[in-house]
Amino acid sequence: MHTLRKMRLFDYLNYLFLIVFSCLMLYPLLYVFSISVSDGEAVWRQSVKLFPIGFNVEAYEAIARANAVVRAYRNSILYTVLGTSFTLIVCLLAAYPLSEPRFRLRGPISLILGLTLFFSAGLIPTYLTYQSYGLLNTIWVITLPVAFNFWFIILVRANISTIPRELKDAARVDGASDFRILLQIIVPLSKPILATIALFVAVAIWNDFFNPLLYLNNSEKFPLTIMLRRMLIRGATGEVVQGNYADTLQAKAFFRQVKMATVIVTLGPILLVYPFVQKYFVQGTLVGAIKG
Amino acid sequence: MREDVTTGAALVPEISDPRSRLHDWRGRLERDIRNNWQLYVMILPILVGFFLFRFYPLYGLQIAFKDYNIVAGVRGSEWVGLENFLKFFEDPFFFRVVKNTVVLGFWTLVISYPLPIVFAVLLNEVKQQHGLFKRVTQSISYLPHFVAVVVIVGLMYDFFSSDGIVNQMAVALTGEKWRILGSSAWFRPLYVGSVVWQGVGWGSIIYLAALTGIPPELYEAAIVDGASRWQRILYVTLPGLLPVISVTLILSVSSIVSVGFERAFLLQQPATYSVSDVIATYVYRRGLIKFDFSYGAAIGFFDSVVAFALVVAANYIVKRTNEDREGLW
Repeated sequence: MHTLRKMRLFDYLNYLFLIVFSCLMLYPLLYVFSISVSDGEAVWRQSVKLFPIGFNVEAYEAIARANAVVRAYRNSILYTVLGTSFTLIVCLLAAYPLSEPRFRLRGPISLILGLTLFFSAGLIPTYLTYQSYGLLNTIWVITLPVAFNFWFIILVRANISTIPRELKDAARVDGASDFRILLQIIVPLSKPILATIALFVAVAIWNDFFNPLLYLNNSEKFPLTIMLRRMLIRGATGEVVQGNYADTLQAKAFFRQVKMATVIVTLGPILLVYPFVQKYFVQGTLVGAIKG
Repeated sequence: MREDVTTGAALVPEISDPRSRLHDWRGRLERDIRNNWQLYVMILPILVGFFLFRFYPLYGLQIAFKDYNIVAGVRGSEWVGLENFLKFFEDPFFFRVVKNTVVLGFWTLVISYPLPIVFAVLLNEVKQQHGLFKRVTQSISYLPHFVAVVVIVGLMYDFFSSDGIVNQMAVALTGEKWRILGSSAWFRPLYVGSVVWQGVGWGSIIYLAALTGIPPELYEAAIVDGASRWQRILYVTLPGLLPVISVTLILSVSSIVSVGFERAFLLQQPATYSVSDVIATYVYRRGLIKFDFSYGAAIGFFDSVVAFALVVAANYIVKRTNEDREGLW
């Protein structure tokens, strides 16, 4: 296998390309971080290009004091935790009966729920329906509908059917109820797939902008994504962070730091757990791709 | 059995009578519910949830064929047939939003679809002894997928602003500033560029998995036969990817007409509507902001029908063109 190990011109070019590619992926994130922690003066002189110049956390202190941002952060955490929990509960409650041969309605119910993979009512009819339920401006409209995703149910069901029958039969012979089998046999043995689904849903809710835009109009309920739009796209950072900034150029530079700091705290939770959970994400996409 | 006698069903041969079969089925179901009531208790909230959040909105789709008014509600509003659809075809903005959607979807597909395949193939060429380099590159490439669209677009507003990092570079290189944000000429490159940045690495996962399924003996045999690297990529790697490529291609064709709402909505400004206003954002503005619910529902329905037709057509074409006659279904 000598020829396979030897480096040729192609390999050097290929490696160079991949390194440049990685830099392109990382540079924006590094730049954002550098702006957020650099000295205020370096930022308004526009001398920060790559690594931080100096060090200060004033921008972070400012967002910690900004009630609107803190509240949005709390809301995002609440929506993510609640929505993910609902999704897991729905997955388990649906997947277990739908994988049990004893359950007579298994076939018809799978078929009917499966239709939701192909048909959706679209934005306006869905909006009007949720409105008629009185769900607008509640945390339920962000956390409940997302839980009823048949795709995830399929994944859990496929996993449950790989659990040996004997395990469930033995438990039943010993007098265990279905709820007990679900909790003490199915849940422990489905942990990897549940973790994968939880990660997917958590990231989706954390990053979701569409549903909050549509269904929430009370600023008390806004999650981070809506706040980010106000600050980064609408340029309303000044309203969000109150402060005493006489010099406009300095204030402008500081607001930039605040924006970047907000981006960093938004990405923070994902970046922190990412190295440890990456393999679940990759597995999840692949399971999905193969089953699909 | 007593019920059968009272209805007279027992007099008729059992198999030929649908009513008795129905009875039979109902009896078995009742027994099933009695024996396995816990399973039914579990599934009940699921059925309720799917009905409320997934199926009942479909019933509301009828407003696309009605003249919806808030007082009368979905049921009470007057039927108008295809009027909303005809109105859309005659809408002065019809041509604009359909064209913008298709052009944006087309460029996104043409540019962002092949790149993950190229990336996967190049990554596959990394030497076995450099496994760490390969893994790190992979991990870094997935990262942008987890960045919220609103963050990406928000950062673009900063990077491409008149004194942002991109214009700092432009000034250093060309001596003048470019007007990028709010410029119609730049909207499509910005849109497609952000899709590519976010999706190349993540999109390559499925191809990398397919590549691990190619037996190493094939490469060894190719080397023994004197195949160059280029020939190995062309005759071993790409054929190995072909089944996956045909599936992903079918699935992504419908993206031509279903340009995502979030990115277009966040990146567009009224100044760029001539190129940035797509069907999804038009539905939102007309339907929800201007309260033209029936009209918005009709446009949305039209869009999803076209998307569905495109998937069916793409599947047909792929089936026709490959030798095994294999499509998605």
